Amino acid sequence: MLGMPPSRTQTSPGDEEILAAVQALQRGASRDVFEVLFRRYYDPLYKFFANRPSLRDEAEDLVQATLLRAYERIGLYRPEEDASFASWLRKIAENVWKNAVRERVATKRSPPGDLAGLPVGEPGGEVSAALAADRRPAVDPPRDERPNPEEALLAHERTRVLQEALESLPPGMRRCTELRLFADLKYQEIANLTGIGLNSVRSQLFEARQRLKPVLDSYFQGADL
Amino acid sequence: MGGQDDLNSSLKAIMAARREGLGEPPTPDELLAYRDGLLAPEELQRIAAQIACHPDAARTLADLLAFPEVEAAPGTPQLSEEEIDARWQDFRQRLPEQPVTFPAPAVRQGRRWGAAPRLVAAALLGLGVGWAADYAARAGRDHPGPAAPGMPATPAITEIAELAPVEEGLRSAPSPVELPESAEALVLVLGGRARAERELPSYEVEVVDRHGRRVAARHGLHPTALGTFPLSFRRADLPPGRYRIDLFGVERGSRVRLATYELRLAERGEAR
Repeated sequence: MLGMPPSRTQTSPGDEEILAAVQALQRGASRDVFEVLFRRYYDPLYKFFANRPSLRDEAEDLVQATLLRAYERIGLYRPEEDASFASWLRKIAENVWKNAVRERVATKRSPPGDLAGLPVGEPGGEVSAALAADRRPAVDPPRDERPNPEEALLAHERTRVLQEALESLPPGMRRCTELRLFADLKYQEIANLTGIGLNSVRSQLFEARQRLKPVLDSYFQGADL
Repeated sequence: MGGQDDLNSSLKAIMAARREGLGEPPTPDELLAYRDGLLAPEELQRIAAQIACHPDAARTLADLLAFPEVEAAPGTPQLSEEEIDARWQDFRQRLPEQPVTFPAPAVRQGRRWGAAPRLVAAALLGLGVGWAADYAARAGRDHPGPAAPGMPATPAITEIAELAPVEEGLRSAPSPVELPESAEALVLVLGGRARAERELPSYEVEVVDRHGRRVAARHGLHPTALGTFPLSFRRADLPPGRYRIDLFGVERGSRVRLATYELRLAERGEAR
């Protein structure tokens, strides 16, 4: 929707339009000028909040809180000193997100044990809450279809072999592989998060596949990473 | 069970075991510190390992890094253009006609207001600050109640400082405010409330010094049309030093902190 990813140096026509709107608002233009910013950033902000399962229900409120705060503080943005307006807006969204997470933790504090025994007084409740569900036993078949002892033993053996294979990977390759497998991140997202180039991510994951292939072929027939 | 299902089950089991060993998932602050490269090497290793086995943490970080090119995760509802149109129409109604245009840095050096030019200057400076100046001048005369005890009836000079809330990542460092020798009063204009989306029945402010002692409080406050809170103080109320100012919303007997401000009143000559 916004073309290329934001950059401190890049100035696309869209960025100029945004900057013009910001400067007009700083000079006292009416609220209608804010529509440019609203339309440009509503969707990215909405995705950011709605991608958090624990905040999905309040995503729209959080988007509006972010945009309202941006409107109220538009005079604090300095294009000559700050990064792009998108980065500035992201910082506001980060604060809204952190506050929402903290409020969520506070709300959850009253019913004891609500987060499956996690120390709910700590910040990070969004993650904790999301993980509370994940902390169910990973292999949890329906009660009436529990594996027989042989199957359980085989599952345990498969897991052990896979874990050893993952741990045998070089640290950087292992990290890329785990972000791909565990967190289901895209290549570009892994590149952003690890700070290595997209092509490096591709080659690391290709190499990891080659190294893990014997294990997959032997223990997980037909499975792909 | 097919090979892919077996693989997924094994991956989940590995993740669960890894989490047990690593303890709690990273907090939002840790995630942001990780992203910004602010962690010590050992912490960096720990958080990196946690991120790898906590999908929600990894997803959050990836979205933050990708903003505004955030992609919807599977299962995330999508909004149509029409829906965004409708939201703009609603949102527009909530906006003041014009945004408050704080100058940077967050604390603006005060202006000196003589009795005669005050009205003219107030008109030029706009409703919020102008109201504040007028409020300061009238505080002791018309409203000598608890909001401004002992305010001089007609202060010769009133110093005005606008404050923005302290907020991580935004301008927040308190610039010093110096009261000129002849100033008898200080008006603080608290702006940019953290949660201005809903007006509350009443607001309160507490001023705490650097030792945590409450040095002043105001109750029963209401925002101006611009959403700001002008507060007047006698010079003697606030000697030079650092102060934290908390703004609370009050509703049905309970109060919630809405914003925090920092004020540094400089010794004579320090702010120059």
